[in-house]
Amino acid sequence: MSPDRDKPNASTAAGHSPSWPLAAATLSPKPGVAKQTALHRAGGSHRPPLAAIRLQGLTFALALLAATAFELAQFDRGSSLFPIAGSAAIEAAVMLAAAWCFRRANHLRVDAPIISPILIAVVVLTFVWEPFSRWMFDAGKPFELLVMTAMRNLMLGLAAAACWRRHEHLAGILSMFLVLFSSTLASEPAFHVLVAVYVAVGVWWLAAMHWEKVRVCLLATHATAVPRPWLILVPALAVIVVVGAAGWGRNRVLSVAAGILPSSGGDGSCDPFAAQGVGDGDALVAGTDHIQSFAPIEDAPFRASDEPSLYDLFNDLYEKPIVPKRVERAIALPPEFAGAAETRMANSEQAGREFSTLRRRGRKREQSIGDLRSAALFYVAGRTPLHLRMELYDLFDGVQWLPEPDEERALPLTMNRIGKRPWLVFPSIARALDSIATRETHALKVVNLDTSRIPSPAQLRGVHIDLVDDATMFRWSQQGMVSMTRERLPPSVPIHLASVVVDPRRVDREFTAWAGGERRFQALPAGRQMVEIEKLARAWGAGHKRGWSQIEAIAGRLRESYVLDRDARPPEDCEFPLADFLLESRRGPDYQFATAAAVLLRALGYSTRVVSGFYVDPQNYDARRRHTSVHRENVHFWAEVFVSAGTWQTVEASPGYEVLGPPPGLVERLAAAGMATWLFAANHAALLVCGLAVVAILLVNRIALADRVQTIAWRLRDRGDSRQSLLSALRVVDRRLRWAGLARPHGHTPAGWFFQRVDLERDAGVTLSRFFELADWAAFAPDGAGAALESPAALRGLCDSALRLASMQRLCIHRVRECPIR
Amino acid sequence: MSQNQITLTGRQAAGQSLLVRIAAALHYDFCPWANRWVYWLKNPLWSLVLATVTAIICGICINTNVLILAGVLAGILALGVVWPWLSLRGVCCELSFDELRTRERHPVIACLKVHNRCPWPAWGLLLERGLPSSDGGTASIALARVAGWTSCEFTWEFVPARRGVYPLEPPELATRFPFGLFRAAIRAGVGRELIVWPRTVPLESLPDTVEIDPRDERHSDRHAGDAGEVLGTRAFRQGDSLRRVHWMQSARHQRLIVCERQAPASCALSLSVDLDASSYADSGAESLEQVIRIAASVCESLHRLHADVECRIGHESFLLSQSGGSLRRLMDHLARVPQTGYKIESAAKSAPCRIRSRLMISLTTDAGLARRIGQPHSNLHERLIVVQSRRDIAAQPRAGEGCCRPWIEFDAACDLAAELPVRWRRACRVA
Repeated sequence: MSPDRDKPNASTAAGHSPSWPLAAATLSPKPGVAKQTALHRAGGSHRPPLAAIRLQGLTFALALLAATAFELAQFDRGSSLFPIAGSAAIEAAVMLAAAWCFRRANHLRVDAPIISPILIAVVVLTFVWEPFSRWMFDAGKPFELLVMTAMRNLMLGLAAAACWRRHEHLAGILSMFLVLFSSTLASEPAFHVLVAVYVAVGVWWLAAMHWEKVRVCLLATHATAVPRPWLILVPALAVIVVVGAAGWGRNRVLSVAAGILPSSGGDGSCDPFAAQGVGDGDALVAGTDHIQSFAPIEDAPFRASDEPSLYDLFNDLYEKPIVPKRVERAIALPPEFAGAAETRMANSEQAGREFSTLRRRGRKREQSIGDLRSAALFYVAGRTPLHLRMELYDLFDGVQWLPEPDEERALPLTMNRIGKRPWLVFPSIARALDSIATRETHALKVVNLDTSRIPSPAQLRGVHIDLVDDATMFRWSQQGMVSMTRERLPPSVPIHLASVVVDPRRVDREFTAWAGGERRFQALPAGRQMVEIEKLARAWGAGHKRGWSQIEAIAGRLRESYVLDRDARPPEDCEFPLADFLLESRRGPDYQFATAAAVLLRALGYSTRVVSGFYVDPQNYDARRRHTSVHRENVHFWAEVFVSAGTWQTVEASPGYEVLGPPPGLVERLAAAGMATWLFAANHAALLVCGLAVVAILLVNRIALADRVQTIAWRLRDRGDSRQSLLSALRVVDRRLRWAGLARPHGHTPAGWFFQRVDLERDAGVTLSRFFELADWAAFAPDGAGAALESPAALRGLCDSALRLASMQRLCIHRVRECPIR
Repeated sequence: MSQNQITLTGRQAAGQSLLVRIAAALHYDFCPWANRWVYWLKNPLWSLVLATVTAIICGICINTNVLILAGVLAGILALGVVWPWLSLRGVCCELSFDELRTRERHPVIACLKVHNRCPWPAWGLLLERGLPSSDGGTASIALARVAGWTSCEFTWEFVPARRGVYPLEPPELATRFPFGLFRAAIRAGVGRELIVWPRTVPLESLPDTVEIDPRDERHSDRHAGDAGEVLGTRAFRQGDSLRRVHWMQSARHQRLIVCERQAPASCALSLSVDLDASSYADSGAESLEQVIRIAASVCESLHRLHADVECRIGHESFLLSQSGGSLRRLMDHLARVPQTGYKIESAAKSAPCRIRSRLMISLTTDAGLARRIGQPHSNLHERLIVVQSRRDIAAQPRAGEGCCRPWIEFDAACDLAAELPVRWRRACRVA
């Protein structure tokens, strides 16, 4: 160990002249350490070693950031940030004052001051104050916030006492946990930025804490004061970018993660005293200011407006159907369905519920989405992607799908109370596959949709609307679907839906046991081209065992080989649009895909139907509001295949659409999160590359830039005092030496070290010698001794010349190179 | 000082005393036995692991935003573990000293050659174990950075605090950079060991009551008498032997003249050093070090004064001859004595002195003295130098008790440089 390091800082110890501390600060690279070592080695005193000021400053920053993050987490969205800033300022002031007192006490007393009882008192007072606060000001905090407040107060106290190392450690750990717990409460975007900054400072703090231990026994001959700052800055910057990107705006990183949250959705428990709900519970704050924003709350105000009906949406999206000029149809249903079809056709046409697959060519829509106050028709909270049924179609005559008749013979609906909440349950639905299904809950909030039918997922098991405990408010509509006995669904009121999700890969046995279903779900239109379609179905299904794999093969073939084109239409004189789609154009809108899937599967003996409704697209997930909006573009058609009594499985044949599967396992979630991160990076590749390039350029030229900045700063700093001017120039030269890898160790004078390690030409040497001579005078001469040897202007000129001669470039060129040892 | 001021000061003192008592209660270790189970919490690694687990639980159960924090914490953990491990992948090093022997607290130049085969640099390297620092720390030196694809040589002044063969245990080059979470280490090769002799104090006196064992080649004294070279003549005194009468001179001077003779004499003594571990079981390492320092000081000083010294350590015996080799062997042996002493069997403990006629000096502790008191066959002429280590005076064997009494006594914590020359000189004169 170098004896130089063991020596206490002579200048600090002497302290005769006012210029001595200045000299110490200038000439000793590590005055704090020297002082600390001197104190430590003195022995005999009970004072524990003091932490370096810089490290305590970092601990301060860490604690202050954590405290501010905690304050931010407690505040409501949209509140003013001024109280938080004021609170942070007060905390900083109190902490600084306390820290100053502790440091002073350590210097004045022989023993270390006793602060443990003070810290305990701070914690106890937090809890003692709460009943007074509730009694006097009628303002209280929930228990968890109270505990966190006590934690924050203790952390601030420890940070103030961080001049002792043990408190420094504890303050850092507590701040980490405080930020972590605050994250569970936070929703403010600013919070994510604050956490990113906290993480960056925390990484720096960890590294500095470790380096402080290493630095004590650093070899003097190979001393580097601190590791290169960019080593810490770059990871910190990366952390800021990643955390900031993940928490800011809409991206799929959070969308994927959010889908795994359990939703209380009405059948979970809730705590009336909780500050916030867990998941989507009923304690969320009512959105009275922004009614368009969605939260599954029960007391949101009702709002009336002219919303589009489902059939308006179909016509908006797919254009109006072509009314055939000829009354007779070229392709007809089988004879046994002809009679029933005639009746139903008449009813459907009257109600406008039938759906024709022969429609006009698209034209530019005149109505823009921006015309509406909200672009969304309704909002969905829960896992996505989700298919919400609105209309079921069973009979297909080659051009038009006829809707299923409403359930009339089903058992009456009943209300059950589950967890003090009224739930509408469906007693007639067989639940053969519920043992292998997983429960799923979603919440809807209708904003702009005019219908009385409740959009519902497959395998709906219950409906809950808060305070609605009368079963007569509901009625059966089509199979497995319910409507409200009113003209339209109540807008802005959460409708909770309970359903089950069946993993189709586990139901192969059901397909083989009974291909069942009523015959109307297997009826095929008659006609010449149906022969070719049946051949196509057999060819695609060949080689696959009957069951889900065969169904998936048909749907997969459609997804892969056909193009989804919402504007594609068959010729207006086309008699069989499905044949045109399957055999000719191979391009079409989603109802053609759904029709093709249903017909092809019927050709293979499966019972199928076509469903229209809404596709809840995960792309529309709002991470901050934690819901998915459904727009008029999300109107969608898909097919369903009959699996078992009461169970219809969604078959998605349209490219780009996904089906909600059972909840993913941990590995699948991680894989999805990784994929989403990768997609985010890929989508912002240009920005990332540009950012990285800028960072790389800055890193490569970091020393030159830093040198330029410090030189400009020196020039701008107009010091009237000659001594100050010389010393600041000397600091600049010292920093340049350090950046050039020639850091001046302890015990070397600036001049001695400079000329030992840098070989300059003679003229430059003379100027620099004079400069160092005057710098020695500035550092060590007592006040009044020697006064100014030259005029301030001349001194400034000399410093300027010295800085120019000892530039970074020249130092790198003229440095004395050492031979590496072999 | 007025009465009010006195009262105020008294209250302040009482308040401070209360504060001290509360602090003492807060810091009282109620279950010291459990400390070893919680020491691991001091490592920031486990704090971070705990925080990560908490974040995952909070993320799954409460708010998915916390999962991002969990990811960041896991990333920091991974960085803190992988970086040190990766840093030392291509590093090898060798430690050597520029001298073979030195003494306690005498500086030597140590040299560490580090070779980094990998392209990335290694930061914050610590040379740990084997070379304890003077303040008791395990790290000897720290290297800020070893660049990639380089070989570097670092030299520093090493001051061994205690005797021994350095490095005391295989040294390791370790790093915990950047966060101090994980320690990666490689074994450092040792090119040349350093033997550190115990610290000695020069002694100037020889025991007065020594047996004379003349040797021509070296002597510590001259003994006048009947033997040896003729020194001169003198008048006959009553009691002189007639054999010494110089008849020719007597005839010439008409009175009896006798011859005066002088023979070279050497102080011969046997020093027995009690290094039995049982003698230091209670007193600790400091007593053992004091005993070894006293033994080394006595042997080295007497050897310098040409005394004939036989030093017995356990079952080994060292005869210090004129050459320096014997002293070097003895000092090397003393340097290699384990920190807790030897485990010597009972038979070896009572091994007899090789030359029984010599003065016997035994070096032991109060525990060793207590054991001797109970032994009836102890040598009555043995002189005991005792290092007292027990603070309990009542438990110490009293001087003159039994057949053993200390010749010189030292405290285990005393300053040998000041105490030993004075007490040794006084003991030699008095004896």
